[in-house]
Amino acid sequence: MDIAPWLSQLRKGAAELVVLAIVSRGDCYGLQILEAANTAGDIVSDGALYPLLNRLEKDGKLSSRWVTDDGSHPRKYYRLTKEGAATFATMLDAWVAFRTAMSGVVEIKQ
Amino acid sequence: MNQTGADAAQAYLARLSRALRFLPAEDRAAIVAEIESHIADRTTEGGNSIFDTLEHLGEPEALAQSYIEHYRLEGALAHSAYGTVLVTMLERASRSILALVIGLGACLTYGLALVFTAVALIKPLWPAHVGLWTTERTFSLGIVDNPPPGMRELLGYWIIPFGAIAAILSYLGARKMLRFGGKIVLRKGVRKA
Repeated sequence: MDIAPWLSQLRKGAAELVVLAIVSRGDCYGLQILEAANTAGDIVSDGALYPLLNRLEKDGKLSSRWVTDDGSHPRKYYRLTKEGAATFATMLDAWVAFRTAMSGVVEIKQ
Repeated sequence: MNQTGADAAQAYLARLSRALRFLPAEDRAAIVAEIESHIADRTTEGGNSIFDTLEHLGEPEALAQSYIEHYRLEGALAHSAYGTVLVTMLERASRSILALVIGLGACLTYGLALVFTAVALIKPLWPAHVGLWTTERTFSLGIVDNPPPGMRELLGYWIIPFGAIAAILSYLGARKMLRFGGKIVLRKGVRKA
């Protein structure tokens, strides 16, 4: 059976929490977020990340600034705002509860 | 970065920029600059080829679309552009049950407003054919060729203010539905296909 559409929905739901979690650990730019998100498997795609960052910034969850280090091109760095930190904490609690509930239901072997 | 790769990147950014042309100029420039920065990072730090990098980003028009959906709904709600909200809902209807319900509900309610307006306007011109008829159990409202025999007409010329008020209420109701539904859909975020 083709589970690709289901998997894509799962990733879509996860992306926002993943991005907030990574940015909460320190300021970072797009590629750093992608590398941190996808070390253990594909979670956030390149094409999905940037519109998501844009939306999170518009919604006041992230702030950004352009940085030009010596000899490199300008990069857009993101930082969690106060509102973003509060959203992240709430989402994290919800995620832990959800994960526990899911494991209890679907991972039991008869 | 070889020449063909650089050309492909420039062509990609140009298509992206063109697809974003309805966004505020400042935001559009920032989006294109960020994607340009991403391409440079992927190809230098990441060691990927430009073609792989562009492929992973998807078609520039599709990428632009995921930015635009959020902007358009937000902008339309801010400027009370209900037509735009309605079109956005109908476009999203295939991916969101909520958008489908709101879109169709608003269409139907706008339709009702039209019918009530027509009833109020046509009554003075064609009085015998417009009315609210009743028998023991049924009601029928509208504009008809031949008024149903054996039925009693209830409103007479009162149907004009009745139709006008009902038209206004339906119209305001449809707008309320779009505003309220638009905010919920916006809060749920951009759902990328």
